[in-house]
Amino acid sequence: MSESPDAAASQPVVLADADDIQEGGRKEVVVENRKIAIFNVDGQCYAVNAICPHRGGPLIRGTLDGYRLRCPIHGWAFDIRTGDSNGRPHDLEIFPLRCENGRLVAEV
Amino acid sequence: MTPEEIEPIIESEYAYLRTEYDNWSPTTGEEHDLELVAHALRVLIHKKVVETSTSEFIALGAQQNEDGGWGQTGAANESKIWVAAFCGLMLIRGNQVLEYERISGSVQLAIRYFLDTQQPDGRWCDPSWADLDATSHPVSFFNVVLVLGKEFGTTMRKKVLESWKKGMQFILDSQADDGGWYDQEFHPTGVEITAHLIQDSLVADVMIENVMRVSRPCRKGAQLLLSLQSESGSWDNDNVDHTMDCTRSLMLVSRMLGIERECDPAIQAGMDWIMQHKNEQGWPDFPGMDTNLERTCDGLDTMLKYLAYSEEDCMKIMRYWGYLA
Ligand code: FES
Repeated sequence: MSESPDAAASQPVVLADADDIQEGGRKEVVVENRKIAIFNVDGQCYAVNAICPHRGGPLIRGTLDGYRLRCPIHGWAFDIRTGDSNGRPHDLEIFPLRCENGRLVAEV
Repeated sequence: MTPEEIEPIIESEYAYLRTEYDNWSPTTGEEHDLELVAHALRVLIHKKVVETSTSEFIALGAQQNEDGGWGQTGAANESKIWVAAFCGLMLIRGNQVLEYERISGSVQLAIRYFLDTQQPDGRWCDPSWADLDATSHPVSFFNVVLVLGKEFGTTMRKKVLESWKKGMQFILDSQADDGGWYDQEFHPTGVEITAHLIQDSLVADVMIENVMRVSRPCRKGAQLLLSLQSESGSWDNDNVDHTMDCTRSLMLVSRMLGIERECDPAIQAGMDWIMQHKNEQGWPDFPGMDTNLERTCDGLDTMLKYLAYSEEDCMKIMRYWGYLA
């Protein structure tokens, strides 16, 4: 019997140790050939696709203002909690995180 | 960096761009991002190889939408202001060499598209860009149409001039007191947009009747850019794209305003930084990252403009923006 596409598409994956990313810090990880950017805002970590949905800008180098992450290339800004792009043509993909035994886990 | 040191790097980077031909040429399919295509065609123009690149320009013309614009890719039917202006600009400039009626027809259609899509207050809008970005590109396109597009007839040129003036006025009215331009959503630091707009404003003003009198505010804008350069020579936290934008803009603006002495150290530092942070082939978005083909086109464009900037003849650099035949 073949595996269902859903099961193949969203596996829980450990992205990083929670201790790796201190408050105000950020880290880019590569999981399943995908670049994911993790930001720690006020002690809470958020994971997003590290590639800007506009034209591929590197969001790990974006500027954070509260929860608003601005792409360094042309300035689209996203809410890292929801992916909302404030009216731009594409939102940012997000990966909700949970902490399991000190590790940050997401469905990727 | 001297012109002699840069020339062989231009050749090797250009050879690299050719090896990536299938990833950018509109002759190889309609799936390419047309912003990348336009960046690559600009390299062909500045490298003076248009005559042997006819098929690339014709293919871009063939990907034009019925409304006269271009979409994000060659296959996309929904035209986008920013992309359309970049494509139109490359076609009118390429056609200075090619003189193809078909391409001239495409440019004419593009002119109509921009006349039709301008807002009453002079701006153009594109949800992917700040209004100042979206306005600056059609204004640049119209600059070039007014200077080079003698074949488009008096009535159309009159309409273009009126539209251009309204667009320019929108841009100039948005300039801040410090000489910069800002957009709270897209460009809070103002670096990239100021680099674009000082050159657009200045060139337009000087080349077309000197009606806008922008020398003083543009000089302030250039000084603002100088003040924002980091000690290492980069702008915007080592942003390769923005550093190339600022360096290129200062080359043109300093020449046109006769403030080379003030700007040259920043231009040299910018060039040194850009060359130091090149990958083995091409440029990344930030130092240490993988090569990005579009940034590589920007790098080639920057080097080619630097050669023109280094020439005695100050008008030579104007040709690299398409403002002189
Ligand atoms: S690539 Fe991110 S805003 Fe354009």
